[in-house]
Amino acid sequence: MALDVYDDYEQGERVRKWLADNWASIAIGIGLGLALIFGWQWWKAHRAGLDLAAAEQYQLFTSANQAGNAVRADAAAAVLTRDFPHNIYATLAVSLKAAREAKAGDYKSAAADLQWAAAHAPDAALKGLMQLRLARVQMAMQQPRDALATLAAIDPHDYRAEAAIARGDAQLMLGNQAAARVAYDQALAYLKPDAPQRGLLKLKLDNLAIAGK
Amino acid sequence: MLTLLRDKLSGWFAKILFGILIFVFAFFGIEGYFVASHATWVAKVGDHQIGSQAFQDALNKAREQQLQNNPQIDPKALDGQRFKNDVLEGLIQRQLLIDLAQRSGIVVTDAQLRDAIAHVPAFQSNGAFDPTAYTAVLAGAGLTPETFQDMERNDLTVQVLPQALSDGSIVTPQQIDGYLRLIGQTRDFSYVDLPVPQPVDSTVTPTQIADYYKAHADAYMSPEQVAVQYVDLSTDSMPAPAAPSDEALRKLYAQNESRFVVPGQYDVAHILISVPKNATVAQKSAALAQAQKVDALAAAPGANFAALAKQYSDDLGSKNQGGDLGWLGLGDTDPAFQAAMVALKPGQISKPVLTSDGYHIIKLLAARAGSTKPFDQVKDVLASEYLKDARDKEYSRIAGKLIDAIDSNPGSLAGAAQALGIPVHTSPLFSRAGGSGLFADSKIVQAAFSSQVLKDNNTSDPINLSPQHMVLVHLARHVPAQPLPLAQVAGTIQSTILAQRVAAAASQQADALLAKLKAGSSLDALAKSVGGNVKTIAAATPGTQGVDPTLLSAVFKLPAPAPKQRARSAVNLGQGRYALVEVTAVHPGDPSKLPAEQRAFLTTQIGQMQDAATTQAFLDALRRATTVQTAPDRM
Repeated sequence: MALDVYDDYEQGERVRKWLADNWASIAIGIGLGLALIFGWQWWKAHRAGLDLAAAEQYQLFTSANQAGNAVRADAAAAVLTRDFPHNIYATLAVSLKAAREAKAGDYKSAAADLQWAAAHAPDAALKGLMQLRLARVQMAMQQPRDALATLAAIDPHDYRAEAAIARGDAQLMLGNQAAARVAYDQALAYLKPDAPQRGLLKLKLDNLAIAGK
Repeated sequence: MLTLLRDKLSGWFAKILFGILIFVFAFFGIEGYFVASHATWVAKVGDHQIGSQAFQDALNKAREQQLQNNPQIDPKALDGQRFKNDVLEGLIQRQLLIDLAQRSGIVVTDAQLRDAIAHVPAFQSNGAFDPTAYTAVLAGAGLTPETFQDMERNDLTVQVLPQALSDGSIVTPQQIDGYLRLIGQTRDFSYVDLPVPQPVDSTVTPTQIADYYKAHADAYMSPEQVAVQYVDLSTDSMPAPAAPSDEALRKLYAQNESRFVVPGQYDVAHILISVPKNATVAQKSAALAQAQKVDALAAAPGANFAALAKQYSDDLGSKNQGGDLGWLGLGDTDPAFQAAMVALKPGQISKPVLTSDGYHIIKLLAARAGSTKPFDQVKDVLASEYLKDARDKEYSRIAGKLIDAIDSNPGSLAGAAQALGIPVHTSPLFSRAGGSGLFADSKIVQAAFSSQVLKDNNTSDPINLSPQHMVLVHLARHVPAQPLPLAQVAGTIQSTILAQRVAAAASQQADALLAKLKAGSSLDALAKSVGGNVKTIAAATPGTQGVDPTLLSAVFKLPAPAPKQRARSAVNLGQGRYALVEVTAVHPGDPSKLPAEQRAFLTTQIGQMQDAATTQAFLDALRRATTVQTAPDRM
């Protein structure tokens, strides 16, 4: 197992030559690597900073909202929607604002807010929930057709029972008893056996009984 | 030597050997990269694993909580698969929320964390956050502030979303009105109870009975029964051991002497010259001088101790009683006081004795010597203890031997028992519903019908009815479920057939009358034709009293009639009874009648229900978007 043996000098020369030929590529490689590492670090810190700023803004919003200070709460919510529109905190704050407005009977503002929230929600599950609430508000505004359109836009795999119940209610407002019945029947099939809404849904269905059944 | 080694190792043989070694070392353990290592997770949510340890911890916590909330809960319910699934579901949901929080940048600010920790009641004193309490509580729980803050931060992060979801829930007045219209609905209706008709043919031939018996064989079976051989072992069933000898009892008495000692008692009086807690040397010596003076006065012949106590004693509790402290036992007083007191003879007075209160001058008024109960007095107690102990030991010995014998030969109970001189009994037959006596106990019945006993013909595991009471069973006879003889059930079958005929006739009659009613006959006329009369109920609710609940529920399920129309039906009330019913009007509930505060309450209630439902649906939606695997076998 004889190895080719260079003496120290020869070896040093070879290394020096290799370095002279390739130093540019090496430097660029190291530079790129460092840039990538620091860039990634910077990006993470930047994101964390943004998240923290949004969290603080949301904190401002909830404490003002709970204290009943609508002006301050809405100001905080406006900052969130302007500066962090795609952050989850913006969606949450706007949904809370909508709930307050709906409670006060201002369905128009509530509907507008929920529409914004549904459009900007960063998560599909959250978006569906906003749409579901929007449909309820639209029904309260006597706009069952709009409500049906909103409900139809919800991902058909999510909120199946809740959406079906709301669909039934909207159809009933339009006087479509048969369609309402179909929707309620669907809801009943989607509900778990021990779901608390079952009792009320059964009542609704009984009330829509068809002659001859 | 080294040269030799080098020479030998440079040959082709050595090269091959090295090649093999290199191969072995390089690839040894490589299968670990291809075959999954031993997995211990019980659930996998996305990339996150919920380990079996975390699951066990959560399970134990949940059990504790359940037991605390509901001490009467059946412990079996906390052991079942269902409970485990619920706990795992909770962990999965929590992980889904954590994932979403991380994904969408939900963070807890330091201010929030500080605020939350400051509001934990355990860390507060006088309504404000107390840093010493904080560190003390954490230390008690074995946590560092850092780990606790991390836990708390996680908890807060998880709470943000559900909190926002529930705070943002919307219940419109329209929903409440709709609910009130439904729930407050009343209906007007009239009905006639139809008479139960006679069966067309009331004779049942034996052939008919036999045919029915054949067609419904499953319904006429005797229950599966077993009889078992059993051993009923308890301390009471142990043979009475020989009465202990006097000598043995005396030995026991010597071992337990301390139990029979009646300690001495001392009636003492004292005079206290108090020394303040942080007295100076001067104060101390002044007190000693005073004590010695009083002591001399008390020890003088003819001295009146009581009068001296009244004059000099600093013990406010006793000075007016002449210093009398009453009867004291050992251990009732300061050790120094006691040592002096025990050394006195009645009437004697001690030198001043220093205790933490100051100097005492003690007079022993009277003493009752301590005594030891003599052997004869406690002999019976010792004898009965001896016997009980002997029986317990005998029980443990025999039970242990029996269990060992059965472990090595599970098929034979009688053999093992007889070898130990334990009687083996045979039970009467009993079914899964249980028998009488011992065999009413569900644990024994379960064991008797277990596959171990019934199928494998082995002896059951020991069934402990109480700590010193054990039963073992072994199958003696198995009577499978079998058809009851026709003669025994003919009567039942006859009445069943008759009841069916009545039901058929009643249904026919009801259908005919309903057809007539729908064709335009009046309910009154139809009632008269069957000899019944019409009852009319106005504004009935689903809970109206005095009407058959089956009828009432049917009335509320009938389609609402159009104005001036009627909804009609024949309602089967069971056992051949039918009612012909006609709903004349449906009145929706009036939402405006509900007082405002009840409405607010209802809004909250419906809101909570809706909230629970939508939050669950939200979690379901999250779960659908994430890969969740569970490993029930590792739970």
